[in-house]
Amino acid sequence: MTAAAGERAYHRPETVAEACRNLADAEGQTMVVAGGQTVMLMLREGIVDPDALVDVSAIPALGGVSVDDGTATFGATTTYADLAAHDLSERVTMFEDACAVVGDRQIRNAGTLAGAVCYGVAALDILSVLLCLDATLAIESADGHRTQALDDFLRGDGETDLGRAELVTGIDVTLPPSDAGSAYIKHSSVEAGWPTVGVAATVTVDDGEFTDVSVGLTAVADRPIRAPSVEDALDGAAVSEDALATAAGAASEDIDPSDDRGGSARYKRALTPTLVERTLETATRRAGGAL
Amino acid sequence: MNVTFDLDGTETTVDVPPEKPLRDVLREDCDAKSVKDACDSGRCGSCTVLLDGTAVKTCLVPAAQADGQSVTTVAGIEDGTLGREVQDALEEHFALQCGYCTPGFVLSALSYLDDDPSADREDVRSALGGNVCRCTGYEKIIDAVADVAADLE
Ligand SMILES: Cc1cc2nc3c(=O)[nH]c(=O)nc-3n(C[C@H](O)[C@H](O)[C@H](O)COP(=O)(O)OP(=O)(O)OC[C@H]3O[C@@H](n4cnc5c(N)ncnc54)[C@H](O)[C@@H]3O)c2cc1C
Ligand code: FES
Ligand code: FES
Repeated sequence: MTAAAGERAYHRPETVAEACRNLADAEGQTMVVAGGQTVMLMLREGIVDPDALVDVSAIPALGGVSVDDGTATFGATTTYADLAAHDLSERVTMFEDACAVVGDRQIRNAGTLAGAVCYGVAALDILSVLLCLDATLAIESADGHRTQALDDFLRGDGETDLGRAELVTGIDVTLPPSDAGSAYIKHSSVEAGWPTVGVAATVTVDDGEFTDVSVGLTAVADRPIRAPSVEDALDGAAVSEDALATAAGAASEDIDPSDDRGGSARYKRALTPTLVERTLETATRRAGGAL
Repeated sequence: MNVTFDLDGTETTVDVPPEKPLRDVLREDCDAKSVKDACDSGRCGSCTVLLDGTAVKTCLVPAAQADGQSVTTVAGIEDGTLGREVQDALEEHFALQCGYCTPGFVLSALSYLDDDPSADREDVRSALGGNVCRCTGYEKIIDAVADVAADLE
């Protein structure tokens, strides 16, 4: 289905190949529409004024979650509600945690994971979760296929490495070991509001020691980030509350917050170690660690 | 672009710009005025409808995405259904004043209870977080919906 609305073309292809062709053939600026939860606001406020919109919501091949041993793939149009309803959210609890706190139910019913990835602002909850799991993107265009680590794809607040005629078709993640514990905790000044700080963490407890530690942070830098100082401080440490507190303190080295709608940079700095500690504690308990 | 959908049981075709918000299509082109227009930013929930059974905010949905789907507004809720029970409960609890937010609350509550019939009061409170009411202070709305949930169990 294709239509010219005034000056702006609107395409609603049913295959990835057709979508790539629509993007490549369009004149001027193009924009992909998935759930529309961000695009519709940007159009209304005049923040964007593309010449062509390519709506990917009618492409069956982009839906669905597949799990294969240690990895999972989310089709680009997987919504927060789809992920929350999937068995995977029981196994990797931080998915369930994160999907419960993004906006509200209506937003979660329509908003997609790839939409968040391509919007790419620092305050998106799900992005620190995906970073924790070393997410890699499958990207398609009329010129071919490429993959890119999410960590490299996210360039700055709302800036990504997505090319003009490119489409994200899927998100691959590495699942934590089955005995790992994970959590996502967000603090916001109002319920259902944008995060002041969000922390994602997964840990495994082996013989009384932390292994496979992975920590991601939302809304404390110009983009969602991993927290290598925290991870290094905890990996191999004996399980204890002190170890968690020390590691959480190291978060200050990883962050570089600015004032945003979720809170001031100062507040974010003060809050981050506490929230990291709390999230690690929850993840540790879920991993069966004795604290 | 011609967009065809089932609006409360009636097949409807409209010729509209595909990126026109579904809310405006419903109000302006389909005379479905129970779908309210308030915040324009996806925050208030008064424009909520069920799109193929799922609650969405129609100010954030491009019209093209309704093509081939069903759209349920409060006007499409029939007697003897869960949606009617929710409406009756709101009335019994005096859970509306100006009523502007009510259609959105009814549809959000209906879709939530459909998904999770064992909801408790706290679940209901959280599930209705995407809907804003400037009159009632929420307590009565939550009481009403929690009552319906309790009856479902
Ligand atoms: C009221 C409200 C509250 C919110 N609260 C939160 C919150 O608390 N926490 C949070 O994390 N987020 C929140 N969000 C944001 C929400 O997570 C995003 O809007 C949503 O995930 C975007 O998904 P979408 O499918 O609607 O994307 P769209 O709006 O359709 O697209 C978003 C961007 O990604 C591009 N794009 C989408 N899919 C693709 C693709 N497959 N390939 C290439 N480019 C693509 C689009 O061109 C656009 O630039 C909120 C949004 C609203 C409206
Ligand atoms: S008008 Fe759509 S959410 Fe407020
Ligand atoms: S009854 Fe007036 S806004 Fe809710």
